[in-house]
Amino acid sequence: MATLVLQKVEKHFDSVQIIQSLDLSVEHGEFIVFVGPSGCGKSTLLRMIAGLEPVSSGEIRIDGNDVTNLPPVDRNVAMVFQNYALYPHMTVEENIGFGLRIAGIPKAQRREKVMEAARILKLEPYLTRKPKALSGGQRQRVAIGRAIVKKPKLFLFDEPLSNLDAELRFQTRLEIAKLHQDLDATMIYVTHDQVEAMTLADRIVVLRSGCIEQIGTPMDLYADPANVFVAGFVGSPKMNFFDARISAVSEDSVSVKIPTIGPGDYECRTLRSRPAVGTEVTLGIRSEHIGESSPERGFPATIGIVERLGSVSYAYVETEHGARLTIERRVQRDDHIGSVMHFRMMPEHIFAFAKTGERL
Amino acid sequence: MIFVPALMTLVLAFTAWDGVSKPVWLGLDNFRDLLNDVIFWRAIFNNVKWTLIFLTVPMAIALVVASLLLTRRRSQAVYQSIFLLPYILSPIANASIWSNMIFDQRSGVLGYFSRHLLAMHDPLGHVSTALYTVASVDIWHFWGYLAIVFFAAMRQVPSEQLEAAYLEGASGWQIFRHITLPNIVPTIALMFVIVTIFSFLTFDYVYLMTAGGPAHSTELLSTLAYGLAFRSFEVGKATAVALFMSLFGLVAAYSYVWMNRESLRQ
Amino acid sequence: MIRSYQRSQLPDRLLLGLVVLVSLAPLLLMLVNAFKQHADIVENPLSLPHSLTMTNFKAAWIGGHFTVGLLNSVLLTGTTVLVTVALGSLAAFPLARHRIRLWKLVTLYFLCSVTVPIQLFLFPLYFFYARLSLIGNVFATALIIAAVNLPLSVMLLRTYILTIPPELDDAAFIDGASPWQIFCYVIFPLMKPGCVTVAVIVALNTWNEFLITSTFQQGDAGFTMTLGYHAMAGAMSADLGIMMAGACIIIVPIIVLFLFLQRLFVDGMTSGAVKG
Repeated sequence: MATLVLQKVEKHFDSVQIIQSLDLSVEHGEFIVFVGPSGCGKSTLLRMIAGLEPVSSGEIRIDGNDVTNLPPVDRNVAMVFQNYALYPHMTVEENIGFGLRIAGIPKAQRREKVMEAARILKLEPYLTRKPKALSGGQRQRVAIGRAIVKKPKLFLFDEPLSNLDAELRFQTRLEIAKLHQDLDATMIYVTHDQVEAMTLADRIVVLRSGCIEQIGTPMDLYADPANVFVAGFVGSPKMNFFDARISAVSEDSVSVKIPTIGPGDYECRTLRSRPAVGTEVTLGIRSEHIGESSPERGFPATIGIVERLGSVSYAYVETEHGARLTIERRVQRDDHIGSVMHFRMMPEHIFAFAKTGERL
Repeated sequence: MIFVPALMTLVLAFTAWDGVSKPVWLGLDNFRDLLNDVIFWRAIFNNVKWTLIFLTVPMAIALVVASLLLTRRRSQAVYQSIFLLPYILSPIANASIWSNMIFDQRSGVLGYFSRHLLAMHDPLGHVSTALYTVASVDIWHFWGYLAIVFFAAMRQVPSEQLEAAYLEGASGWQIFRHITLPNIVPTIALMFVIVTIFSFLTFDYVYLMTAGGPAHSTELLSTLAYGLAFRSFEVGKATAVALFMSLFGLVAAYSYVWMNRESLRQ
Repeated sequence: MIRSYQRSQLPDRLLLGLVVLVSLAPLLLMLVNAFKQHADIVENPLSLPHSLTMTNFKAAWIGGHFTVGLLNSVLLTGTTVLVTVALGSLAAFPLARHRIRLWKLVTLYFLCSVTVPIQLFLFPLYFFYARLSLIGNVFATALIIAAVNLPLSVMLLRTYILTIPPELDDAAFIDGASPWQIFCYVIFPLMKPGCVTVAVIVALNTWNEFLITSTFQQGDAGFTMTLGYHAMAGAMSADLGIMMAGACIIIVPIIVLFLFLQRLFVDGMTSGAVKG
């Protein structure tokens, strides 16, 4: 249980700037997820918080104490690695108790603490086994056990589910969520999978090329993205984007011309600012906000491929002017490939982004 | 541990020292004496001959035998052990077996053959054959090492490449020439360098079987240096010879590093 | 694996058979003649012995001072192996884990150590040791042989450490371990197979070693088995039976060890030499 503050933290290696000047504040007991594409610096950031990488400039404060130059053991943090990082030559019990042993805690006490952690994670039957005799899920639990036995202030997770198969990933995700509830601990979690981010996080930090693109709750990021990158990164399937131009501006809405969709103007009601007429923008709309409509009210598009997933289907359509869209179809219809249907976009859900990326 | 004596040696090469009293600075005299010494040139010549022999004969045998082993899955390990046996045995024992048991005129196998079949003269005793004889014994000792190194390298050729070639109709020999050999070129190159280095350093077998004779026909730089240091106590000269030995090795090693500079960059 | 082709197996078999014969023939000769009297050998070196008497062996053992020799050889080999493995692993650890800025220099240094002849520093070292009265001291000689074997050993051990995932280092560091503790508790236990391979190679080299041993281990009491045999070879070359018996004694332990530890020998010799 602790607060974490990153102030103007930067990291460069040789002459390459990996993390731009970054500020972040985490409350007690929050579950924060760092998410972003490969190479965005999320793992590096996590390692800097852990104490495994030195900070080029800036401050890191845990519970108000400046830990920027302290080794991990003095920061009271624990980390769960992607590849578990279990000591192959030690038993489960020795693995979990290793940190306590280094700290000089006598054997009897060590045993007690290890047993407690093992009970929480249901690892008692495996205490005398070596890692190679365990399954992937069990190994991950041992790694988590090693983390919780030290009762750290911060839990750090570095893509812990990437090495598990789909079924196991789902189960372990639930276990981690439950762990967070039971321990009421502050957790920082790194992943490239936005589903994990959306399901586990209290708040998500979206990173790209070392910069924070947006911080917010999962729903904030989904329904109110700050820029085109976040809008396209969060949510599956990806948001539909097209180029457009502002044609008219009024009190509560804006009209745009979308050349690739069709003639005529489309209304957009989500703008927070009043851009000038004629501005080139990027429009975004999610697949669930486009619905079937009549020829008078909607625009035509040809069905290309339909992916049916059971409760929902996704239709990949193309307009005669070249726009490609993904449209979610909730109601079971027999959409024929090649047939032309008409669709309408909901104006309350069309986002407009400047050509530079920010939300308008 | 190695650096300090090496430095000392560098200095000593320019002096005359009998090992007991204080060294006397001679400048380049040692080197000049050596360069004027016929035996010195003989030794270099022998070393070069030795190197050429070793770069061809054992390498070729090793490559051929290694390729033969590729298709014998079950007996590979047995063959490997047999081929490696001469390599791991003590040079003294080996040299003794060959000199005394086999080549000896009176009591050895050769002597036996001489008396009952063909008269053969002692190959170790004749100026024209001595070097080749000792080289043969060392080849017998050394080739197994090359064989297993090449064998390991050949086994690492990705099987997909071999299968692709087979599908395209290549014969066994063609596959060997066009797929296997190119893939193990780095290993062959490395062995070239190692063989060169060791050829200039080689000492044991020559010393034990002929000690440089007869009439310096098997004198190598290493035996020359040894003799100078421990028999005539001209340590300064001995170290000068040693410097020459390392010179050849360094050139070989350096050219290897130079050729591989990209892959060795960390 | 590509199957053998339609061409006849015969020439292959013949060639391999020939090679095997040539490899083993001298050794068989040695074995056979170790049991014969000298006169019999002279008469026909290729004949089988009448009986398997151990007289030659006993004579060889005494003549070559093999009791002392064995002791010295074991001490020498043991010490060398210990020193090489201990120092080698300690050196290999930072080389494997840290990005050494002077990597090129380090490689060059090791390369030179390998190409440079032992003779280069043998002579000054000998006289230096003589001043310190260390000639004949098995442990002092072991240091020299260890030094000669160190560059290769460090390289081998380094490649072995590279196979240990660095996350283990990180996890231990987070657990609070100092670099020394990381080495002792995590890295070294996981290096054991690599250490064994290096130990086997160094042991082989040391046992068979001649040049350094003969230079530094002068005097009967300091002889190793190989040196003892060498001295005997000079004095007793008249009796071939004893000579062959002596050779047997020296060779047999190695062969036995080899047959058991083949895997390790081959691994050690080929790793690093094969670009995979």
